[in-house]
Amino acid sequence: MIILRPANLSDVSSLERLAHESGPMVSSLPAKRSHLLNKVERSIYSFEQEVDSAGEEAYLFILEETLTGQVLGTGAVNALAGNQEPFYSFRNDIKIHSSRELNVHSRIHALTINHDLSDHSQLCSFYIVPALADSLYPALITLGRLLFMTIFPMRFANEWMAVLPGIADKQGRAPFWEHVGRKFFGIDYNKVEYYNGTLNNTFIAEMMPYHPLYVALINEEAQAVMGLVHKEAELQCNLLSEQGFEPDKYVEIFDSGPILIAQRNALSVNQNIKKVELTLIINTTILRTYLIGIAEGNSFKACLVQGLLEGGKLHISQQNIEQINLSSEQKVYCIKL
Amino acid sequence: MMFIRPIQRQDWQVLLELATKTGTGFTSLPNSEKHIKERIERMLDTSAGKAPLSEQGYLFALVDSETQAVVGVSGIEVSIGLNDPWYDFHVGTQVHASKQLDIYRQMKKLSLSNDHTGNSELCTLFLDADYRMGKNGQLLSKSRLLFIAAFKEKFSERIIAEMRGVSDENGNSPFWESLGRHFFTFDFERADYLTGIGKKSFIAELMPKHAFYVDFLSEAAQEVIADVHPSTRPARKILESEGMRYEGYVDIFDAGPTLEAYTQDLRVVKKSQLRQVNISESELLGDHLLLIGNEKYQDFRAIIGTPMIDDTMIYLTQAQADALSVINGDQLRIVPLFEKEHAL
Repeated sequence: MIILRPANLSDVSSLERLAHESGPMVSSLPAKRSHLLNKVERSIYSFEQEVDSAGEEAYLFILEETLTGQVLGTGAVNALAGNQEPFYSFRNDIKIHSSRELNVHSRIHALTINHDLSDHSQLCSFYIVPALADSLYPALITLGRLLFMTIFPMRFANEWMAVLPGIADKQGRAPFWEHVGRKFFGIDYNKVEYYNGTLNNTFIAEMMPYHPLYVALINEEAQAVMGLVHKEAELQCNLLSEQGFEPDKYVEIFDSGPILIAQRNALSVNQNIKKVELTLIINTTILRTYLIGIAEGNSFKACLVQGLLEGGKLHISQQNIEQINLSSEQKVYCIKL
Repeated sequence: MMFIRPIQRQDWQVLLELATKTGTGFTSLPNSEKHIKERIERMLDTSAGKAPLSEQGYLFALVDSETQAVVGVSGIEVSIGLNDPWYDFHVGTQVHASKQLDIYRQMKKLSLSNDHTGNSELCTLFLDADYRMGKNGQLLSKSRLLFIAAFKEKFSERIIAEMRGVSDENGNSPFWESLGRHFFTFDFERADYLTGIGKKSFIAELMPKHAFYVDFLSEAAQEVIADVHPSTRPARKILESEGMRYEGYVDIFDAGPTLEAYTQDLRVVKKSQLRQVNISESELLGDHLLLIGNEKYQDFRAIIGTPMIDDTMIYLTQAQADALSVINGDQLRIVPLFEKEHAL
């Protein structure tokens, strides 16, 4: 059975392998062992804390095939996007320039570096092995985290967001970087995303433009990709959009990937989540797919099952019941996929 | 003989003719009878002591004494930007550096500024093409400096001169195409015209208020920043030889450079000397080519010549004295026309 569970120390080697595979697109999963170890340790610590309100916690989840122990994907959540240091983004502001006398009325767009989103909870580090890209398991990683955040609201802010990768080709050329960031840094896109994943943010404050950048002055090739999501992240984008995440006026500073934002209460998961009791299926009626989240104390795991929801009971197969191996202290929540 | 005199009311017609010949980028002589007449009145008010500081200015005509035709014009504004704000772009440097990443970059940026508010300004310089020879350009341009030297207290501590920027035969400015076009919907020619007739408030309303990096402009635009139109190169050379410098400010439409100086540092202001008129029957020639001006505020005259001088006198012909509107015993202000000349 494939499950989503918190990362532990024995996962570090697998994570290193995944980090290499995922490349610069997942900048928050850098292929550097010491960093990954650090991330796992921080996650373990975060799960263990009794949390009243979102702070410095960062939770890292692993997608695992329990039969083989193979690690197939990752997903993380930062309690606050900018807890230890500011979370920078570009905000696309519209300034109205108008002259009544000349009958000119223009809407001028300008990108301003800001850290408005520092207090949002942030979904990040999404990755799944290519073989599973077309399955339901990406949904397990993403919605599983949302379920976790809904069940433990005190650990998170009221506003959530996800930064999605922007347009870049296979060689790692990102048009927005080429025509904007490169002017300030002079280095390749791959390199800056690596720095972004491994260094603290001071370099951003030092190197990125202080003044708003007029969009009209940005090369057309870069303008065209602003706010567009990378093909390989379209799936993530759709999942989040279906839940109720929306693009606002914020984009990622290096590749201008879209930043999707949502109010916790407005999300589908919030409306549809149900606390249930797991029982055996009586007869093979029409089955639907459910994502179930199992919480105990400060721990959480999630998986997908076929079942039938009736009242407060979710009817699933004998095999699933055995695989899940529920204990009496564990609470079960589910949402329909 | 060519001589300089103050503009007169009846000169409006010939000024209008000259205005049609100047083409795009010559902002301060708009092709409008109303504006030219208003300008002349303002000059006359200034001379008469009736104009407030914010409106004071002078306009001089270059006259061919043989035909009495006005063939050139040059002007001074006393204190710019006191009514309508005076805008230009300041060319600044922004350094972005990260020791951690071992990266260091210098980036040029432009920001909208009103830094020259209150400065005096040399402006409205135009010479009919048929007369662009000999020393006519020098006389037209530098006689203003002699006037300033004679009446220093009427002018500001700092003085500027905007030089026309690069535009092609069709009146297109690469800087405008790269920047201005995005913030305005009209052509460079129109922006220029609107500025010339004083409708400059639109600049504040529509221009980019934030500094922007020069790297985001087209290469053609970047190249012309602080560069002058080919036809303006002679004028730039003249003013630079007189002590004016580009100090990092350019025009907001065509990025032509602004030359500037402390008024007291201008060569003519520093080096001009006084002599007493001595009219002689025959022409007495001296060693230096001189710019010569009278000390009359309301009837300022200037010529170029090589009269003999000694420690106290300057020996003029009657024709020269007439052109200068002086008689024996009057004071004249002199300075070598060129800075390369030896001291008097």
